[in-house]
Amino acid sequence: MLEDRAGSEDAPDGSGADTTTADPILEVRNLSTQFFTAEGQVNAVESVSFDVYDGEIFGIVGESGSGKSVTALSILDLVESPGRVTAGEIWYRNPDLADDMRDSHPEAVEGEYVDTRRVPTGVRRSLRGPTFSMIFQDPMSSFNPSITVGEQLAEAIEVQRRARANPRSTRSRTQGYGLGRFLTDSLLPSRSYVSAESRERATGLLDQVGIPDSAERAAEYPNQFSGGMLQRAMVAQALAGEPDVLIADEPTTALDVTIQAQILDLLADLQDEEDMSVIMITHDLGVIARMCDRVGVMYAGEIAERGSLTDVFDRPVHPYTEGLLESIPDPDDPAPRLQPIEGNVPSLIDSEMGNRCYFADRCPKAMDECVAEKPAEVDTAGSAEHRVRCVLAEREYDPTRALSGTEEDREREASADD
Amino acid sequence: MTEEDSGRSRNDRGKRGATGRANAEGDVLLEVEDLHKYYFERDTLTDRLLRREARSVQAVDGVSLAIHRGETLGLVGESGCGKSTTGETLLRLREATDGGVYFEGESVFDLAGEDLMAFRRRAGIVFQDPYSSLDPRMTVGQLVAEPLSVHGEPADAENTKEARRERVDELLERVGLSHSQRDRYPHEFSGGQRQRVGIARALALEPDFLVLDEPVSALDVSVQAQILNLLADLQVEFDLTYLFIAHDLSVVRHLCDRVAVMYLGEIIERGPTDELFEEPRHPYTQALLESVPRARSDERERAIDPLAGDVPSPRDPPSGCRFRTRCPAVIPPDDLEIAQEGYREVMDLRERLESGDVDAERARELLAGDGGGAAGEGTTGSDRSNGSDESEHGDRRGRRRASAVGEEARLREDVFEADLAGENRAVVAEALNSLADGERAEAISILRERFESVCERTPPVLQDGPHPAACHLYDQPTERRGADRTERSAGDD
Repeated sequence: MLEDRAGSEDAPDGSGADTTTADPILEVRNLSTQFFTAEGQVNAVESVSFDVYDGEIFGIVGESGSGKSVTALSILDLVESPGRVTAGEIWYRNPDLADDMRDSHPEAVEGEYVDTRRVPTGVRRSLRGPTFSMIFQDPMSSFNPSITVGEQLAEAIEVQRRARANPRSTRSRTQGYGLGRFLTDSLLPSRSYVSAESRERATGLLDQVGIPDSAERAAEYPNQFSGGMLQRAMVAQALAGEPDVLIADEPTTALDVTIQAQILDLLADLQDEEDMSVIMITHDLGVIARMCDRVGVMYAGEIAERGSLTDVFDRPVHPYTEGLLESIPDPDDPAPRLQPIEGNVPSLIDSEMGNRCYFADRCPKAMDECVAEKPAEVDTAGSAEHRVRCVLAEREYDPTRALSGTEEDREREASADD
Repeated sequence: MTEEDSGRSRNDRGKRGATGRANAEGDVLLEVEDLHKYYFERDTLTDRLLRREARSVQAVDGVSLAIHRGETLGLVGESGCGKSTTGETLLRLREATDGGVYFEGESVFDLAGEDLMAFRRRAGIVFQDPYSSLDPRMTVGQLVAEPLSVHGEPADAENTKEARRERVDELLERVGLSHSQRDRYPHEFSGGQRQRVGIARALALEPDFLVLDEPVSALDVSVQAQILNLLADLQVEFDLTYLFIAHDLSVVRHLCDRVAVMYLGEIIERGPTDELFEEPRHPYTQALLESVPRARSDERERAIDPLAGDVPSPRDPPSGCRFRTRCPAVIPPDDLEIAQEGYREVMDLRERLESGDVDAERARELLAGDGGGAAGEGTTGSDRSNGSDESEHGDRRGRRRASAVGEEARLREDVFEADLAGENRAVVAEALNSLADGERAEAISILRERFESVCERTPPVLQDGPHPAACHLYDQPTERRGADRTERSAGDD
């Protein structure tokens, strides 16, 4: 399966050229999410823009604290207090929804696109499931340990099934299941919310994600599943609403490599079968290389560089991307010395982040202009979508203009590492 | 430009270090002999009063290792394979169930009193998670000084307190922290910095040997590279010997001289790093290496065939070779003609049947009623160039045999993905037929009789030599294969 896809995109920029002709399913523009904590305002995500096309896997890669998970949560509007999405637009292509919203919320509609940030909360909520769905990192903590896997899955399916009857209303999801029924059910345990069809479909979904003897496994509790099997069940749950966009947040980080390979294969197969788009969030560049068509590299809440896989892996412009690629050990190459990025990921507290490039302190090619002003995201060589937030996109590195202030620090750190 | 140069010279230095270490081979610093560590369940007083038999979890089951002075031995495996337990048991941080550990020839398990203290000074450990292995209520200075005060070091100094502080500062500087950070608490540091503190602490007593238990797996990639470089430098500088425990094969390739691969409590392959990575012998090592996604733009074109299934429970490990339940190269009996994929599926079915996942009802589902099946079997049979005649013949025989049982037993077409025809298919159908009739034991024995593999009968042995693999594909004491023998002696250098 993977080979097929790779084959069809043999040309270096094939994927980019192919997808740009179509309209993206999702256009994220200048998305910013901030957390208002006791220590100050934390800019977890800052002016992030990217597109996701139909049927592609878009990768977001970054280190811990770079804001990649918060980006995902912001798209789903799942950011919890003290965090808040403070700015930005999330344009989602859906002609039906656009027609529905055109009269009541003209500002949120543009052609076939709807800005999910500007529609009412209820509508936004109703998009979770049939439009956006999410796979979380740790399957062990994402399931309720006291309910069988099949039941949890059936419940998710039931919600989506009820929602389909009236897609714009969240109320419909509990239709015929009022407070009275809820109270009786909590006193006299029954399973009247979930219908038999949903339960059957749950078994079918478990089958689809490759769980053998799915009928028996559906009756088991999460602790009876292995990590890999539970992650499969989580994928099944995410598929319950037949989403257009599946967000996978570090779906294999908690798993062993042999299981990771299984889950990645499964995701690639499902993406192909269901023809959905996937946003793949990971810290592992290998997973990105294996799965994604296009990539965004995040650093300190911003997308430092984005473009097609070949743009980012073979022609990186941003020194952070270069550093990241050089600092990972390669199982095929025994080079005895790695080239790490010195220093640590900066804190994202607003008062400590000036109007400058956030990577300048760690950057081996930092120049005076890097701290003078925050570099804008600019086009660069490579495919049409290769954009980078770095001054090096427009000029060569000039050692005479090297950043003076931090040079000594860097040397000291470098010598400490020798 | 200058940067590149310095990078290259660093590389050279690293290489020299590596070859220098390889020359030192032969001088064994630490030897592990047939180490066992079992954990027991249902072992409480009530359980004993109720005469319940204790159940053992075989975390480490017969591990033997020799670690040479100055080298880095990598211990690799998936979670739950017993690699960390091995590391902790050989330091006597856990009590071994059986086996021996010899540090410079002295049995570690027999040490007591002053000798044990001396061993503890010479062998240390760096733990995996720098977030939970440092006491949050102690400053970094106190943390690094703790081993010094436990062991009363430095003993000969006039002003112990002053000498200790100097030593702590020196250690902090050495691992890339500043002595001005001495009075800060762990939560003020990032993960990478905390791991540096953990390393400084392990170095405080100037040990000869360190167990590095996944020292970088909790860290981000860019920081991970810093720590790996630091560990490599410290090894050269202080003449350290490392046991490097990891699940990440790329890190292992980078740092280790030799590698041992563990699966379910056993070492299944051992060899020099480059050789093991370039020519892995055990099917598990091959699969493990194949599964690591490479960070390259042509990664998608690399075909990988991921291992199916999960690691079995160490409570009840499979008989014979423990990897046989997932092994893509499980060996069919000599006299059985069957394609490898088909055999793998038959073995999976047997496994599920024996564990009770396939019951009578499920067996009935897998058996086809009339029609459909025969046509499908015909086509799959003729697909095979050489075996078509034979399989048709076998088909007839199979049907005859099945009718002798009483019913027309035929498998549903989609039971197996791979081609499985002729006698093999008929035998499976016969077994499922018995199972459907409730004859569970008979079903198991019908399948065993025809399909039993050497892999389930005999546990493969990890032999001596530079690059042994515990697998029946390679020479084993009972079933020796000449070709492999010559190959091994040729690889001997």
